[in-house]
Amino acid sequence: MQKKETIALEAVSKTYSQGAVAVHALGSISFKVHEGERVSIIGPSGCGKSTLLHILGLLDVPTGGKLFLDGTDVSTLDEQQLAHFRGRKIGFIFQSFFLIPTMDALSNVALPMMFYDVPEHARLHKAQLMLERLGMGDRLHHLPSELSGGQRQRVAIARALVNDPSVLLADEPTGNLDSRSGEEVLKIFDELSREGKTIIIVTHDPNIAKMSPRIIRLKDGNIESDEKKR
Amino acid sequence: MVDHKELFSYSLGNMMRRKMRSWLTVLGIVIGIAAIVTLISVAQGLTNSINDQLKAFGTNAVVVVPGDISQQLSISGGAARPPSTGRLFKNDVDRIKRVSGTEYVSSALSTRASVDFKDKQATMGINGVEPSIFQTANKALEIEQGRFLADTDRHTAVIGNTIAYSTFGTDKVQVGSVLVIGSENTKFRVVGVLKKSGSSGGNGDSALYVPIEDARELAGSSISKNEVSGIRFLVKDGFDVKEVVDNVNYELLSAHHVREEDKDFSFLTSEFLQQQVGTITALLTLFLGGVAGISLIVGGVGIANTMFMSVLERTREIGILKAIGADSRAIQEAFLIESGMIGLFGGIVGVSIGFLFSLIAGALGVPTAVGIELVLFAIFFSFTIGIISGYVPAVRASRLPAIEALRYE
Repeated sequence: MQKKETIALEAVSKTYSQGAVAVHALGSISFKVHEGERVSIIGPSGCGKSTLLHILGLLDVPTGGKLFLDGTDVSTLDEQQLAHFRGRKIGFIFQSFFLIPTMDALSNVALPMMFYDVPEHARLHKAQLMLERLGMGDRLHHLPSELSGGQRQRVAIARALVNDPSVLLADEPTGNLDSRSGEEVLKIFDELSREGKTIIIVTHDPNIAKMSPRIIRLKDGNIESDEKKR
Repeated sequence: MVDHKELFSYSLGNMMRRKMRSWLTVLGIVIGIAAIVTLISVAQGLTNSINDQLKAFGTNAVVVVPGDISQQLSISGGAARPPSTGRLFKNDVDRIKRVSGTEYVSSALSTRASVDFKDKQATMGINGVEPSIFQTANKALEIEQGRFLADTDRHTAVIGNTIAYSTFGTDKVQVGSVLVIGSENTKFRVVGVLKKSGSSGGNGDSALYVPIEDARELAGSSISKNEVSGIRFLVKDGFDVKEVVDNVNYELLSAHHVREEDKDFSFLTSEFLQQQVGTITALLTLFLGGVAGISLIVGGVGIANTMFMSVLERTREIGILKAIGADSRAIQEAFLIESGMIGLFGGIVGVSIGFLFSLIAGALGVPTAVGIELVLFAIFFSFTIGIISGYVPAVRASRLPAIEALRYE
């Protein structure tokens, strides 16, 4: 049975103009990610992986080519629809967590639901369940500054999952963590993967990349290799 | 759709995060609003006190004065003689009496004369009146000591409160005191002292009333035989003031053989005076409000400044919000709520402080009045200032590209 295409890129390119010089951040990228797949995108710094991540996350628009998310050509969406897609279909996990410092863990996790019609009690309930699932049930009302790095990343993962997105986009998720916390976070990804979540991890660390069954290597803005483990 | 309650607590949380700056920004608005409330309350208090005095004049009282005052207004009315030509005579009094709807028609004659009491002298306006005026003067004239003038009185005087207690320094003028008035050194016996009325004009606390025929003697040759300087009458209950005034007008025009355009007399009604004074007090209110408004504009600039700083500081946060699904409108609203709250809060505190100031001013004798309209206007106005000041920073925040915001350190 053919699985649903969550993401499809068709000759996606990105060119920045820096003054008079045009910088080709992405040459021509094409690949597909099916539902439930776990993909690592790896490459040295400056290879264009951040640009690709931003395009995949609908934070940036490609200069050429097309991006389909759950079958929708995202170039047809207006600003508001894009924001809606970001909130509903994409769960971001950042290297430096990017939690709102003034909000406790629970509010941070409930935040993505604020932009949709979810009643407040349902929102908080869902956020609490998600935090409990990630072993943060006893830290609901702690501010990010009162949490360790690993705990912050768990809160960030809970926030990314709370709207049940089609794809999780993780940008160096263990980059700011000690090795033990990093392993724990990767274990969470394993678990999510087993549950059928589509996950894309962007990293420069081969040890992390190889934990995914599929590895896309980027070099100078183009795909160098796209390997699947058996 | 964004949940506004949540957005609200998010914005409030941001304000609390940088308390000191928020408070200073609020302070800018507080000062502006407090100044507006205080100054306008003073202007309003002044207006009210003038209107009260006009009410004492009587809403159904009409004064006819010689000359056309529509071009040259003299607020003091019958006491001052308008410079334009025209005269009123005793037979005009009789004509007015014949118009239906008029009652208590009485004439007055004003002049100036020197007044001696013991070894002190003062020159003041003398109001020659018919005693019936005291029955119709409402609360403007109330006796404190003694009595009003009577029909049979000659060479008697009723004096205003100021004349009794301060005009002649330490020498208090009392009932029974004798004033020497005019170049003929006529002796006048004081029969009454009026209560303090609060107004200081020729008809107020500095007024000196004598029987009209005595005033005619004092005026001497400066006034024609049978001339009067003003006629006062009341409009009977059930009659329309305007209609009766029109009828009197018609009667006097034909008696004076003049057309409306070259009319040589004028009417003063409380409505007319209120209009004239209203124009002046409205200007005063506008002026004081404008002065205070400038400080409010400065406060608004303060809000804009704070909001720009806030957008700059929270660039990363705006990026995060966008990454997790906030659209531009939600971001814009969050910032507008914040600046609106600063304005609203500043307004509420400012109104409270302004109210306190106006109470203090009131206790110090300055008439003040804080109406509910002023309170609501001030709060609404400061809220609006907050929104307007926050608008540009909010739009700037909402337009920040998400990736640049996320990259921002």
